[in-house]
Amino acid sequence: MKYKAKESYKKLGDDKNYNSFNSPAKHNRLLADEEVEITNLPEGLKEHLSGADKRKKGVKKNGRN
Amino acid sequence: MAETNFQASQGISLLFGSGSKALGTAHVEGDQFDALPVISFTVPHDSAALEVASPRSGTLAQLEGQAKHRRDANIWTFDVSFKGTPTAVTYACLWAFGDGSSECLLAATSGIGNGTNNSASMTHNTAYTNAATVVFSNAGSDATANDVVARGCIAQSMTLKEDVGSESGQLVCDVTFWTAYPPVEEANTVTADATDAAAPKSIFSLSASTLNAEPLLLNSWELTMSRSLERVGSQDYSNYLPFGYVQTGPWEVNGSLNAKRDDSILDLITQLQGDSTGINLSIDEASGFNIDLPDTMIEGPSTSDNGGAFQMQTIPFRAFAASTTATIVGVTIA
Repeated sequence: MKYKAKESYKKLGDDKNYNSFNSPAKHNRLLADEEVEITNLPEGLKEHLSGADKRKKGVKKNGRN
Repeated sequence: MAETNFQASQGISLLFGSGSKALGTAHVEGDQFDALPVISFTVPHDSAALEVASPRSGTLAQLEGQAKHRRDANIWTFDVSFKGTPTAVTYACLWAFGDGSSECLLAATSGIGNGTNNSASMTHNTAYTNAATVVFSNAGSDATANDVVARGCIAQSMTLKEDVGSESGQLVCDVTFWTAYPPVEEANTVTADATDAAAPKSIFSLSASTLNAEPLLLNSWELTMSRSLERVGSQDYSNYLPFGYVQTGPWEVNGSLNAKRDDSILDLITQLQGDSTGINLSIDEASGFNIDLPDTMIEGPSTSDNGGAFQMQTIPFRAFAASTTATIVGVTIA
């Protein structure tokens, strides 16, 4: 699933952001507001990342509200 | 009389230190150290190339004054083979291209692997996450300072491979480490924070390997990602520390497949003949392991092999990025 960084992610220190999960590449892509494919989202990052391919709230599958 | 100490080859164990650290500084107790499933390894030793200047005319000997040890130009490489567990493979991806969290992506922008897009360099004493400290416990030559520690290690190349006829079909991850900092023999006291005892991936678990959507039954496959690295000079001619590292060429990704020769081979005739068009290669387990190369080309010659009970086809390939930002290889492993 693809994820994007929330503003709160950008304030995390290196001991909590993706650098601490051995991925400086993902960290820098998230800082650059890129979408990143993540297989297993670390528990500590769930609240700081948002699913980039989630449908907008209130929009039904057929696209009508 | 000779010294009495010795090192048992099977008594050597390796620990891999990780986490953000200034380039050139070793990870120490308090940093993360992993005991990964190492199959085989070579041990680096502090030594230097010897350069010999031209001889004097009329002198048919090499004189001491002609020689110079070039510690200012030294680099060290050593090889480590791991069982292909998720932890070992993701660490290898971190040391190679800076993405050690699945899906690990080698992209056109990965550069040297320090996390900054298209960066070709790493600077001495600047903190990075992609360089490892490797401790060879009990590999030192001294009776008490009996460990070897290599710091600032990044992967010059990594190979993933599976073969029904080798290592019980288990995934093997070969890494060639590269550093411009000399290995040190010392009494090292770090211990493993984690021991990786997970099961390696297996070729017998592959479920759907395809090339250009054509299914292939693979007897073996291998994939190598490599680049060239050089040290940046020497800060002085006493300590011989480098100014940093630079990557001096592009990532090259190539490998080969050994597949049952069947209808799929004929269906790939256009690509085997060569049409200069990238095609997708996927090596998949049902879940938990997937290698995806979106843009590969067959790199001839592809050969038919008739040494066994039935015909096999060897298909060499090279992988590309479709654009300056695209993915070359994606490794999903869990």
